Amino acid sequence: MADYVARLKQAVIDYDMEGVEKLAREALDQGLDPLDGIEKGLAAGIREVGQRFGAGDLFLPELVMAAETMRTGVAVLEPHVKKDGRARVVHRVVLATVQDDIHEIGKNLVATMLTANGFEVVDLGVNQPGDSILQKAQEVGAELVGVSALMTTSMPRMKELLSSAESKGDRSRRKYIVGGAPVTDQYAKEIRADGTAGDASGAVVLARNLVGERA
Amino acid sequence: MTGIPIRRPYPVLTKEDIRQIHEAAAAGLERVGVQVGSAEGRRLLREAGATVDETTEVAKIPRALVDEIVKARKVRVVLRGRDASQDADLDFNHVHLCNDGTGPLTLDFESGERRLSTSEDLAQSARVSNALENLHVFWPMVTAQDVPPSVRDYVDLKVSLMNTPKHILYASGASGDQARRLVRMAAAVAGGEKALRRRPIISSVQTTIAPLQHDGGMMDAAFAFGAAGVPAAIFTMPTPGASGPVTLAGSVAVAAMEFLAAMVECRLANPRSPLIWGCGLAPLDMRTTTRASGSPEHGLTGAAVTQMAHFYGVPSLVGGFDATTSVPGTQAAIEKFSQGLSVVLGGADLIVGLGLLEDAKTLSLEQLFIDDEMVRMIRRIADGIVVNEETLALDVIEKVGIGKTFLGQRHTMQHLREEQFIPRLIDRRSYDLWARDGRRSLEDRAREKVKEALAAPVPFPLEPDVVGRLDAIIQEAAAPAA
Repeated sequence: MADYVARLKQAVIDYDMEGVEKLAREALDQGLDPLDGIEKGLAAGIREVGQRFGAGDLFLPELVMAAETMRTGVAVLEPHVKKDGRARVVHRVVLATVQDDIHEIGKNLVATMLTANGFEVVDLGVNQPGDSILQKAQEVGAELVGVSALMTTSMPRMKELLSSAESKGDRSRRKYIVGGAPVTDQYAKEIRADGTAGDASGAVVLARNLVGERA
Repeated sequence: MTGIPIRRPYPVLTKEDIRQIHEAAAAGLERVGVQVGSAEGRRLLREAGATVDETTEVAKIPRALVDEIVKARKVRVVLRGRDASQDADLDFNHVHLCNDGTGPLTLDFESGERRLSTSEDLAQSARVSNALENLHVFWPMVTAQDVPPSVRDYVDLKVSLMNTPKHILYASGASGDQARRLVRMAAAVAGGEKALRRRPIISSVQTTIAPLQHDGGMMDAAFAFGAAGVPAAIFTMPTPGASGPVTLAGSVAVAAMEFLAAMVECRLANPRSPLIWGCGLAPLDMRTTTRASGSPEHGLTGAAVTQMAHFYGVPSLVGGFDATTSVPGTQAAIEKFSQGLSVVLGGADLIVGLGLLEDAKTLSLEQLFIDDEMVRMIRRIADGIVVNEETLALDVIEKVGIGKTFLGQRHTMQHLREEQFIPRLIDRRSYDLWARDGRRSLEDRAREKVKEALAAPVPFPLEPDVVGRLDAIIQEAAAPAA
């Protein structure tokens, strides 16, 4: 079984998006504990790729392909994790572009980087009303909500979302971060967000700090 | 082999321009001639049909002789490193980079103080050069002023050989004897004079004196290097407006006259001597009286001289990445980038200038890394845009479809490193990450790289007995003549 764990890890390191699905199924057939496959195999692989990205040896396309490989593998293994057994520790993040804004390149990069760094991202897409974002966060048990706006005209939607979360008593349950080209540290403070970052790498550092992981 | 491949040079002269400059130079050699300080040089020229006045030492060279020498079989110039993977083949299709050399001053790496340079500075400059991605040939960057003048040239060569396995381009040889001693040192390292001829690990730079003078010792040294198979760069440097016409075409013509006359002499002395046309046409700054090596004209003429050199069948060695300013910073960057762009895109075979400031006087170790980053950026421009089925990627465009991302495509990963300049020093992080990381400047980051480079071991160190032989040769030079 150790062999399958090592091969799953290697599949992520080799960005084997095409082969990982077959490998994961074969591993299950041979009796691999799916949780081991995810945590000691796929996740260990993505951590290694993430470290090499952090050191500057690898670049975004490699990180994305490794994350895609991991996602494909997890999709096969996860349904077989025993519900009554030990639970998989995941930090779940909900991301969305606010209502009246359809820009998502930056948000997608943040989603990619967070996924590649072991977060589980639920991406709601663009033009999302505040209430649906809050509802979805509650549903999936997100620890973190990230909203993005590119235009100064849609920025006030962020403030609305935070006020709404506050009135529902949701601020104590999860953290809220904001981002997008016009968003500054000062603006984030003004609207009482839990933080912002100027780029996707910065968002990973911020998210780790907020969920209490060592950066 | 090393070097930056030039897919498509950006010429600054038309064919007609080249023809006209050559016509002027050939006519100038017949009508004005050059002063030849070397008795051997005058003898060779006279016997080949030149008109030589022994009183004025002026030789007027007939056009037919120039044409005959230029049209003779070409001599390939390959600058060999002690590490063969560092060889620089000056094949007219690759650009090679060389640092600037023989600076008398150093900006002290610890204190920042501007002071006289030492052998330790030279050793450090070689070790930092070893870490640069695009530094193919090493010119001893500073001269060792902590040793007596009688042995300084030899110590400079020894310290360089001890600290870098790259080819060493060496600006010295003020006489035939001195050149022969330098050749003996190189032979001691290469494994004998035959081995040196096969793989010349050093080359020399012999400067002419503008306008139109060949120092006797310099040319005698060039003959001695040629006899040993050591490539010699004849470095012409009329200063437009002072020692050459202010018009760049005119100064290129003066440089061409000086080079052609030297080429005729060297080839008459040794028909297969490997030659390079070196040139640094930096105008006189008419406000300050300094040599404006950081000027755009310096780069522009470097590109022009490269075309002329190739017309004459020899590789070029031109100034570029020079700076007139005394400190690293914005002015240095602008001055260096503007010339560097001209000469790299112009396809210069060998470019000198990396790492010194203040018109090739003052060493800055940080500047070496900054200049290397500029070279890397310009290299990307020189690489151009490749258009073919694979790079057009219509199949990938189709696969990704509308509104999706190309990030996770193998095509992206496969081509990323050749399509995109990937910074080593340039910082593209967002404001917050940069600020949290100490708000460090480009120069600060270059300092870190210098520290890493100085901590690395020297590749291909010399054997102790070889160092001993070099010391013995240096001792001879130190002893008073018998």
